[in-house]
Amino acid sequence: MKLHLALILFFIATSSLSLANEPNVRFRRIPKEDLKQTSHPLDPEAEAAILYQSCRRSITYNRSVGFQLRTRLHQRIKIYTQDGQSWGDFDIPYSKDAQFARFRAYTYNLEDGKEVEIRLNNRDIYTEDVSQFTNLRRFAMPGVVAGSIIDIDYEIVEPARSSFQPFIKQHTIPVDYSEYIVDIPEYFIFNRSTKGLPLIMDIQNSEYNEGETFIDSSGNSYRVTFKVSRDNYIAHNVPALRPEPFVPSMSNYQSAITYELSELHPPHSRTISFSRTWGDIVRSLMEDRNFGGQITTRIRETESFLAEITDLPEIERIEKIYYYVRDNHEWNGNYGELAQNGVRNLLSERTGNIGDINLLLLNMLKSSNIDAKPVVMSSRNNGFLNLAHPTYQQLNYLIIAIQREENMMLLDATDKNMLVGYLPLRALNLDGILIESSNSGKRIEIENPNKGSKQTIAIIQLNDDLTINCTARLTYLNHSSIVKRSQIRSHQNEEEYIKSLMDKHPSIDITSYNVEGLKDISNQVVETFEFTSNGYIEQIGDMLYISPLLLWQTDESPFKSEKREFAVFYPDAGIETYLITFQTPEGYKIESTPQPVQMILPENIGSMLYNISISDNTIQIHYRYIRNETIVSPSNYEYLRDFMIHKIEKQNERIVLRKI
Amino acid sequence: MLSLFRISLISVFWIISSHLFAQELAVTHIPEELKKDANSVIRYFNHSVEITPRYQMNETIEWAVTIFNASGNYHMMPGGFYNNNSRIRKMQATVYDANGRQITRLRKRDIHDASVVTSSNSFTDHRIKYFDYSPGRYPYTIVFRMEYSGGNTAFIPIWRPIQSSNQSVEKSSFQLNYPSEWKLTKSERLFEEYQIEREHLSGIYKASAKSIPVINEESNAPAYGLMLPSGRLSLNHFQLEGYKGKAETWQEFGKWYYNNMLKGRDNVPTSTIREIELIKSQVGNDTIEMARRIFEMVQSKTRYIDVAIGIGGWKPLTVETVDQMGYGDCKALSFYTMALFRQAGIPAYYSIVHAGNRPVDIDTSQVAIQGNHIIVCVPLADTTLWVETTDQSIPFGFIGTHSDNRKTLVIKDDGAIVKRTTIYPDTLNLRKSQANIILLEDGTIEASVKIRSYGIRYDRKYLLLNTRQSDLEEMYKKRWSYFQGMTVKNIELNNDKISLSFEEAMDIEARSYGSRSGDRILIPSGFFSRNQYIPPRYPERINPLVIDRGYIDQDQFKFIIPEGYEIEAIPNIDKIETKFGVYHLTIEKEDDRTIIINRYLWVKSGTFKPELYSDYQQFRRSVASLDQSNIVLIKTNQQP
Repeated sequence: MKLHLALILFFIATSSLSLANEPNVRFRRIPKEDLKQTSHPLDPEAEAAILYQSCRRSITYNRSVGFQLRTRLHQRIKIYTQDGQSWGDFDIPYSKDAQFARFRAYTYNLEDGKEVEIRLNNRDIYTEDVSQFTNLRRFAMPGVVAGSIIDIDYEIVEPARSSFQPFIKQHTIPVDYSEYIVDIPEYFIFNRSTKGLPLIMDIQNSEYNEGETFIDSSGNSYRVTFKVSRDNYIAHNVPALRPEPFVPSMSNYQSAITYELSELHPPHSRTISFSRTWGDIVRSLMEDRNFGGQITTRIRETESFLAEITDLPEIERIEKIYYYVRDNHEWNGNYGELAQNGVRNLLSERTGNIGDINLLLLNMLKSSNIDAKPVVMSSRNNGFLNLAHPTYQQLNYLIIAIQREENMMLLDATDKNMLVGYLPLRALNLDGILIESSNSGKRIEIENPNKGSKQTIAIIQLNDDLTINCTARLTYLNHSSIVKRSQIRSHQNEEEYIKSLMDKHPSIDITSYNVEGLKDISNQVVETFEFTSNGYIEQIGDMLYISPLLLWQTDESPFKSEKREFAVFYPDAGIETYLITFQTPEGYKIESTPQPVQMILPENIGSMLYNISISDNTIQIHYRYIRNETIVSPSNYEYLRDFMIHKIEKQNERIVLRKI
Repeated sequence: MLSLFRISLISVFWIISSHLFAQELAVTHIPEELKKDANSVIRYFNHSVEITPRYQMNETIEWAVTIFNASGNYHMMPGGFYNNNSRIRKMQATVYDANGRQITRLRKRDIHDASVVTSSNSFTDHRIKYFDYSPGRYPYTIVFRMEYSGGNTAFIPIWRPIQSSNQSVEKSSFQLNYPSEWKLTKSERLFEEYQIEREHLSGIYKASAKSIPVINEESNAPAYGLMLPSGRLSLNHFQLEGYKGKAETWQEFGKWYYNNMLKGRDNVPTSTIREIELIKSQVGNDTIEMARRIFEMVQSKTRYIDVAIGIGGWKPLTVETVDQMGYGDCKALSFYTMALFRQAGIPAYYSIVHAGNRPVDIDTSQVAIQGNHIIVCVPLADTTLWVETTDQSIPFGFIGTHSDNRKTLVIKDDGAIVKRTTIYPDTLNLRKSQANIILLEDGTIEASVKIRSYGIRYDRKYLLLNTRQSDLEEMYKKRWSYFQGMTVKNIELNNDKISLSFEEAMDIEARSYGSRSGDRILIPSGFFSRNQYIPPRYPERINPLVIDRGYIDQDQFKFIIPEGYEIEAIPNIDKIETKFGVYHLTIEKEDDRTIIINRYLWVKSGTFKPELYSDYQQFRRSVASLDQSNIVLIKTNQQP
């Protein structure tokens, strides 16, 4: 009886253990089933998977050094295929002032049914110096093959920081179990936020007491007990996140947890407040000599230039200052809303980061009595701004805003191809924070002022030998003119550009070419050219088949997937119109022409209009394609895909002539 | 004493010449013909190398380059590589504006030091020191001076007056001082064509180039590197990683290489010997099968990591190390595979090759270290097999476009011989495809497709086996993007590692193909085998046309038209036969609703005179256009 009872109790005890959230995972103890596994049960094509990931961060006190951040990570990775073997190669970034308190890594393989363990030797670990502040610990696990399991456990200790590296919950391979445990003493108040696709997570909070001996500024030591709060984020079976096209940055969707310090309550000292609201961040920025300090500083070198334009109307002053800054300075490729070297340095070296160049622009605009304001934001490749959780970390870009009547003019002088009021693609990332005063900011939408437009007018003559002569005039307005200008300028010279056009459309022979608006600061580029071609007419028997849109026909749809999970992000919106006139040759009559059609996408995303008019000796195609939105939600993807298919089919329809 | 005097003379020469040259750095001094198509101009480049009887190599390089635009920035060459055996002693840089006035002198704090690695599977102690300079305006001129010294003399820097495309040269010179008792051999490329002067006296070699305009790259031309003038020198006495050597013939070189780099490092661990014995017992006398099994064993237990550390830079890791770690670079994995083959009694040799898409030979006229990759040569009685060891998916005996058809250096125990790797002739590079296609009344098209690839067409196909399903589907949709709204199902892949052929089979469904015009439907007859490549135009072609590898397509499609339609017209296409290839498309009616299409294309490999380029372009244009020849279907009249 007693024995039975004991057994029953034992079973209850063990089963309640297995019901607990945390799997019973111990370093270097690999369950045999895991080693035997040949593919992931939920994602059979995955090349590898993270079986277990546990990251514990804690801020602890060290008598000689002060508060430290300890990060401990235990990660277990399973390799399924040869392609997955690269998951056995590691690059662990860490700050130069951090140290590895512990580091162990092992590979496990199954050989003849027995587990074989291989340890990573210290001499096979390399340290790389990657930047001013960061090192990389680089190593390749030994003996990694399809089926291997890698077990890594390490601890990094560094001075306590005001923000932690985001803990990424989701990867390009599945994650079976992930926990992130953060212990923070009551002296620190952190803002926590999660970003990316919402993951089902089990979030537990608890508290415990700690005791420490502190030494204050006068050298006195005293014993204190304080509370430590523990946050535990647990996720099970996180699916892999793979890259998709037409997405500005996959990091927008990759689930991650960030911590940023908002208040410090040191024992026996004053509270120090850090950023909590966008207003706080704005205040800090404006007080920073690498930001606010750059805006108001007097720059003598620009005074004569500003004096010369002082009598011009405001819009002209804006343009002159913008082009002056744009044309005389080179962006060095570094992002950052803060000035890297300062506006004075920018004027003498003529090269600087985003902050340097656009702060100079702001400085000069204000010196010319223009009510310009800075807008801080996150660049397109850096992920969307998380407006609900104001942090410094997210910001890395700066543009300038000028409110003129109802319109908000947005300026970025770091791209030589931009016109005043237009932003390069890297600056288009939904929203930014407009700094209205020294301590307030508000969200604004960031977009280009209008849609681009491309208008094509072509007149085509059909010759007896089935070649065509065409005269074309292409007018690019607004944003389209910027795109075209950049495209032409990316070639060595005009000759090379024309050659590239002919290489792209091998059946045309451009006999004359002229372009206007290339050098001007105008929002219009006009190309006129003439060409001959033998490629757009096919003779079969008595019939002539003509491709009406010539070289302007869309060949393939960019949307090949049947389904899509994420919104589609276009770099721009715009209107394309074509007016193509064919002069019908003698000896032929019209057998059939494409039918007119109009297609409209839901929610005003876009439309297509195709009209054809026939007179005695001409056939005229009027084709218009409008795209209104730069963002299309995934629920509209199938309509978008369908629309593209129909668009291409319509463009493909021929004009058929019959020999009389 | 004499050489010391020579060195100080050289130093004085540099100091004086730098002063003079600074004034002439203004951009206006550059002759017009050197500015054409140039993103940068090398104003002067002086490379002087000295090799002492004690096997020390000292170098001084001084150069000035004017950069015109952002595309030319990478021509700045703002630094140098170094490692434990070759150290940078001095590094200086000064920047001048368009008028030749000094803008800035770059300081020590502007020097960045990084290792030459780009990814986490790359370990090296090769590092680079470079100036992090961001230009503020164009054009600008940057003047560098670097001094190196070290104990590796086996690899004398190659002199290339022009270092990249869209770059021209005003002046460039090279000088080598060496112990006069040693013998110098030289390989001078295109010196006559570019009027490069040289002088070779006992112990001194000098070469200088003047006024070379931009050498434009043209596609389908000889490898660009071979079109640029260059000088490579080697001495019969050398030192590498602390090992001295003397070699005047490939025989001597091979022997030295084997004895110092390879010998004694090939002990095979007992556990692996047992595995080899096991294979031997299963396979018996079949040498090829044994080699295949050993090769596959190596593939399953190792992976490729780039290891270029110190002695690892020239010596492979030992066989024991690779066995234990399970990884290595091309040297280590090839050495390992070679040792295992030999353990099984299969002849196998370490072979040095210039790997890359373009077949480039080891220059046999000059005994010197060359090449960038190692493969294994297995010379059997009636055939020679070449083995690539860095790709875990590649089948045994296949080397693909990475190392095919080029002269390699095979290191034997007592020397070295030159051998050409596998050639994939046109007739072997066959792709056969077959499809049954049905067009439905609503415009939808359904097809089952089978493709078989051989020879060089097989290259990288075997990687498809590791590709996930959704990526495979996307690949086919892109390949046949002229089908609208395509879905791909029932993909079956078959890799025949013995005959080195790959089969792809799948079912296709698409919303539409071809075009509708009124009552007619136009169907391009190329279906799943439309060759759309058209080479760029060169109205004044300078370089010969080079087609490295030829291939053949053989396709047969059976096409069934929808009910309610009849065949109005079938194109009749003349056969094309040119020196560049053959094209034949026959389209025949089998019955009122079935059309059979037979397609044959042979693109020939070869080298052709520049004047013939436009004919080649015309040939490819015709093929692309004829592959889209339309079959015309028309709705049958509904008779009242």
